[in-house]
Amino acid sequence: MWFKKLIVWLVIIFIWFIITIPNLNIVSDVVVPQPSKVFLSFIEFLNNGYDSKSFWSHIGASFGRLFLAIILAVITAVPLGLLCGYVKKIETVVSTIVEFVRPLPPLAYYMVLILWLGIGNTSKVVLLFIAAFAPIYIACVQAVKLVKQDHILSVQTLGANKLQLFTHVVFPSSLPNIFTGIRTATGVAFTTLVSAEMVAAVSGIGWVILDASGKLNSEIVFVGIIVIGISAILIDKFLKFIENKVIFWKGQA
Amino acid sequence: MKKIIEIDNISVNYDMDEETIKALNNVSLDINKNEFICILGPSGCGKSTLLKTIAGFIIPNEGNIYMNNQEIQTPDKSRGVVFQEPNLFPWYTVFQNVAIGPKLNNRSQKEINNICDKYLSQVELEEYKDSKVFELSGGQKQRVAIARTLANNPEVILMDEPFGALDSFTRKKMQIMIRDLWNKNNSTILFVTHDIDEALLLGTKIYVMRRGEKSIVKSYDIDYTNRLINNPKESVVKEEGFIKLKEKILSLLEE
Ligand SMILES: Nc1ncnc2c1ncn2[C@@H]1O[C@H](COP(=O)(O)OP(=O)(O)OP(=O)(O)O)[C@@H](O)[C@H]1O
Ligand SMILES: [Mg+2]
Repeated sequence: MWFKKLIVWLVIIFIWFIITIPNLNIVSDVVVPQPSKVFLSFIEFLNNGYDSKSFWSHIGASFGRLFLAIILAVITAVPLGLLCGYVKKIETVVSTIVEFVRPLPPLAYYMVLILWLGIGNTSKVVLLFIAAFAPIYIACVQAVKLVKQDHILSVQTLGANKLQLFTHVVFPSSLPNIFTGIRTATGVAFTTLVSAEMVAAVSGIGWVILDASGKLNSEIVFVGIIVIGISAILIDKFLKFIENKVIFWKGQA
Repeated sequence: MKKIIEIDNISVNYDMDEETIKALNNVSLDINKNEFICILGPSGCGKSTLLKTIAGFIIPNEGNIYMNNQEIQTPDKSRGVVFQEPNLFPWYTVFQNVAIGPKLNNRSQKEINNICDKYLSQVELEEYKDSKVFELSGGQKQRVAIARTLANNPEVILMDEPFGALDSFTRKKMQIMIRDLWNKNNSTILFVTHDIDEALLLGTKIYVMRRGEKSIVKSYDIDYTNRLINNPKESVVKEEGFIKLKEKILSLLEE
């Protein structure tokens, strides 16, 4: 599978290469910079940073926000989602709010967050947190509802009380869905990264893209996009790896 | 004989959107200690419904059901259930699955080990104790499920067509095993099946069920299972009495 994907990528890069050959005049250099120039910009970015900050401090700033937001989302949305899977009344309240917020464009409520929390790092992290919350919450509510009835009955006939029912059956049954929720949430948080670094940021990969586009430096814009894209794939691969270790029974009866 | 469960004229209905399905009608029966009761009947006659009611999964619409003179209201550990599907927990190993009951009842680790080893050896799965359950065959899974129930030492074991999904060869072996376990552990079993031979060869008592105003139409006390315990080689299926009884029950079911 990775081999086929590699071929797809080689083809894309090849097409990119062709359409940017200067003498062919297919697209302007500002619209699509040449692969070689993008690569050189990347090396330059790695060596000398951007806007007096190193490459790694930009990466660190973005990932710091992302991870903090995702961790906060996991430790709040998992317990709340599982609880809501149990208690219909609480679910009604929380789901009503989640259903309203989830489809909102992040930039729209970011403005509100800035009013409430200021333009510092907090509002950025909270923005990413809100984006990551819904997928995890929804997956957890669903997970509890999908627990096999016969598994519940089995453990009850073995003498389990409510808490034991949760630890021996409901929680492990829910783990595959919880993981899927976390992976979706991470993806959503990545898509929100640029929005989160739009206002009053001075670092972060999203901010680099915005700043470079303002200066019509399309090479750095491309570098930024590729860096975000590749890190998102790597993180998803990492989560998948952990998932396969933890949930070794996934897909098995 | 000590009476463990008393079922007093119960009926169970399922309320559907349009109509009410009368799944179980006016059933009375007792389960006494050490009995091996077989509930025999065609598909849809309410066998599983009866078993679920005894387990405490369903509350009857009419009538009462008692265990040791207490009304049954929820499932609990005194009534173990073996389902048609093994229902093992795939996140636990074979050993951990069998250990759940003793663990939930706060046994010491040493006791848990002893209990698990005992019942895993009874179902001949000792060497699989660290296996993942989804790596086992259907028959092996069902044996783990049986060991899991036995390990909890329930007063009554309820089994709903536990061998229904197995091939006939494995099924025969499982029948011999379950008879052996029942005898060895002095268990009390209620066993649901739609296989007449299975019912006759395992039970000490058979209840024949049918759809209708009175779900249980007849009961028979039988002794083939004890005879097979004393002499496993005896070929009771070829006996005239066995064949006659089988024909009688068949005609009852076909009425
Ligand atoms: N959860 C349910 N909701 C509605 N109707 C049900 C439900 N469970 C069973 N029934 C109906 O009740 C009747 C008895 O079902 P039951 O499962 O007890 O039969 P059974 O004897 O166990 O059959 P089988 O041998 O096929 O397992 C059937 O008509 C069935 O359709
Ligand atoms: Mg049934």
